[in-house]
Amino acid sequence: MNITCDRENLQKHIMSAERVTSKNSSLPILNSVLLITNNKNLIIRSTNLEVGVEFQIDADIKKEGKIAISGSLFSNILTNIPDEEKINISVINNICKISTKNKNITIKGLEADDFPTIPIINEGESFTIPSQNFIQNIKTVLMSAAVSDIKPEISSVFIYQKDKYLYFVSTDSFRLTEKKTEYKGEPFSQGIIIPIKNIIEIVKIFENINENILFKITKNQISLISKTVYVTTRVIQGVYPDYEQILPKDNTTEVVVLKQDLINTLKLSSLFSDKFNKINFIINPQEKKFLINTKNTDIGETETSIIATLTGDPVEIALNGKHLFDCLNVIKEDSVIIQLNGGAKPAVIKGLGDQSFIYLTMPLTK
Amino acid sequence: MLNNAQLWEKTLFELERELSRANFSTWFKNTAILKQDEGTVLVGVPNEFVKDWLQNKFHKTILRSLRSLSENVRGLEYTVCKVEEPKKSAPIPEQSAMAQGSALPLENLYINKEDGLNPRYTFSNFIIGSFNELAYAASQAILKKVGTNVYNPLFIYGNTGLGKTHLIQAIGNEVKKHYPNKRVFYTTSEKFCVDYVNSLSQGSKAMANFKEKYRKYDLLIMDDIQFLSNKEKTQEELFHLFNELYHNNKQIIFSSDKHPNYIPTLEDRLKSRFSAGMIVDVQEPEYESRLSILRAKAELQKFFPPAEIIEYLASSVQGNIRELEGLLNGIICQSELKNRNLTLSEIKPFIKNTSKPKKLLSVKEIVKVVCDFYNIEEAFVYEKTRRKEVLKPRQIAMFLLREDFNISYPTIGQKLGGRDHTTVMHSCEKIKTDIRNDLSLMQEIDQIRAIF
Repeated sequence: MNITCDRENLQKHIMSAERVTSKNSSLPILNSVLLITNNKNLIIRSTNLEVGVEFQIDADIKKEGKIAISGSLFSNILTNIPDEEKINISVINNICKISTKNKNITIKGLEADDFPTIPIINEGESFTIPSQNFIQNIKTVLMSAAVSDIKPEISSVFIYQKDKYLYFVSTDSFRLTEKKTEYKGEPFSQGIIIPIKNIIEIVKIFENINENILFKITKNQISLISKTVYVTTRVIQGVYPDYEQILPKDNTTEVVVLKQDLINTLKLSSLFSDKFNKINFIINPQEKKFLINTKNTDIGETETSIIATLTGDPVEIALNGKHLFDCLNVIKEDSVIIQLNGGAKPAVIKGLGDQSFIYLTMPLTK
Repeated sequence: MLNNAQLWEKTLFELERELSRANFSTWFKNTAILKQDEGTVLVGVPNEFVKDWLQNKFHKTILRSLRSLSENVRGLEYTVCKVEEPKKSAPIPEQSAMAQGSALPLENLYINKEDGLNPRYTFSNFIIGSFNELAYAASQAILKKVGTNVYNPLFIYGNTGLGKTHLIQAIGNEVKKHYPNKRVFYTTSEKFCVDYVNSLSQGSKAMANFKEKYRKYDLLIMDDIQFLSNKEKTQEELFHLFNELYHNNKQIIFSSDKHPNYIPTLEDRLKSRFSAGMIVDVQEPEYESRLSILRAKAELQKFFPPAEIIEYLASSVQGNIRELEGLLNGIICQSELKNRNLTLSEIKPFIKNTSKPKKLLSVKEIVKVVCDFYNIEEAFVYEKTRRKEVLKPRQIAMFLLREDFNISYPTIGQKLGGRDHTTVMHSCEKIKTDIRNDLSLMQEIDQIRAIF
């Protein structure tokens, strides 16, 4: 193998690929990235057996070939030669020579044939979505996915299509986020449950890419294909809870409040909240009262009243402050709506005027 | 012959010696033999990466090891599936659970949209008693040979709340587990009907899709088939679907609250097809079964009431399992509120409240209902006539008065035209024995009872 390519471009993609290598696998080949030449292009492949990724970059190919080399080493090398513009890679007998205008580096590679193949999906349903749209929606729901993998189906993001929308959902069974985006393509019936760890990798891969992504879906594996990137990931074979049934259709109390006011108050209040982040809300529309108080027997207590538009019945509710912050962080609107059905039912939070986002959080016991 | 687990264990033992440790632990973790079918071994692997790799790199090695252990192994296939790891006991820290407050009620919402099955319904939480053992045995026979057995179609009938849905969904779930390649679909006759009507209104392409959709399944489960009565076109569609599936040896399972012969306005050609396989009924559970059902349900809810309470519940609540469950839930709720176990005397009024209020009817009203049902003059019943068309309603009236309303023999005799109490006793006995041999009589009585 003998190729020449642009250093900066190579570095960007190697770093991206290196993230998906296995970090502590006993099998050294899994820590590597694989370089393969393909006509006019260089293909960079890596996998951690959960996610597999392939980048295609422009390169000047003088001699075809392939090699697997340590991902972390290679990306460190590339970061530390920032002045070079072009870089030449040649491989003889699994010894990889990296040379630039005035540097020569030799590293030991591994047999390319020992590198795992990554599954190619040819069958199944498919749909297309612009990468940035996809990333934005995923990022909106990431925070409420369960962290532990006791229940793999909820430590995931769930994506499905219904009517004219694509839905993105996550829940850790104490809170739930649903985000939808308009979708005009062919309908597909199968919902996709992507493990949270894998979707984070995918977000990072596509973060700086602005292309359309074609999804191909099968029961246990999906692939995301764009012009220069091929990603494949395991998906959870299982059932996502039919969460729509718990979305409240109605509410007895509604609060509209400026987001920044609420954030400022929460920041102050959370200084005094207990270790469960408990924040108490006292709402009384008749007396035009919207109070937030926290109390910690070791430190002290705080009470703030905020100006808000209140309708409905008076209610007292205790919510998890961290859950509120997570939600307010992804809301872009200046005002938020909080809808309640008494102190024991989940609270619904939305951005004012945004129909595409719903956040549900369970109250804490008093 | 070695069973699947033993065979795989020995194969892995051989492979472990041939491969490097790292290779072995990376590629063979969480794999298992799912089944052996005429020499072909199906190996379940955790993901597509492993599947590709085993196929490309280790196929020959694995096959060689398998052959050396079991001579009749011819082929080897891989499929991605969830191989169950030995359960890690991961106790959720109690404190964090408490801190979070209560969880969103998602537990009951796990319904697979693709096949309509609820994974909660499994055989592991299915309680077998004499009331349902026949249905259970038939379902086990189906699991051994899906499609190509004498129990095709399987028709399960019985009153509401006796576990029909649980049983047929459990079959679906079990088939899915053991035969990952078989396509299972659970639907209710109502959904089928709606689907049919929708595709009718959307034109010929939708209709073709509809036909295609149902015909691709290897196991079709249709619940509550009795709702198809009066829906002639849907019945016709079901008839064609049935033929198609049946001829291709696909398994079909139906459930209904009545024997197919008693589903009103069900087409004869469907009736006879339903009867072609196996028709089993699920009866009301007897005392022992009720007891074990209650125990199992209580354990599921992590509620351990004193034995006497469970026994009392089992003995005092008849029939319907769903009602039993409801009562138990009520009691659990009450004792959680009071934060202690309820005593027997506290439970007694509770049961009284929830058990169905029996309407108080006069003897005359009952006789009137029976007479209306058989279309005879009420007065005849009180007369001394022994005409056949009068005799039967009179005997049924006596039987009902005694069985359902607990009126003494002499009183019944006196009210129905001054008859001797032995006449009444004879009538009741006669109906009782006749019911056993005469299905239509049973049906008639059930229908009369439904009127009360």
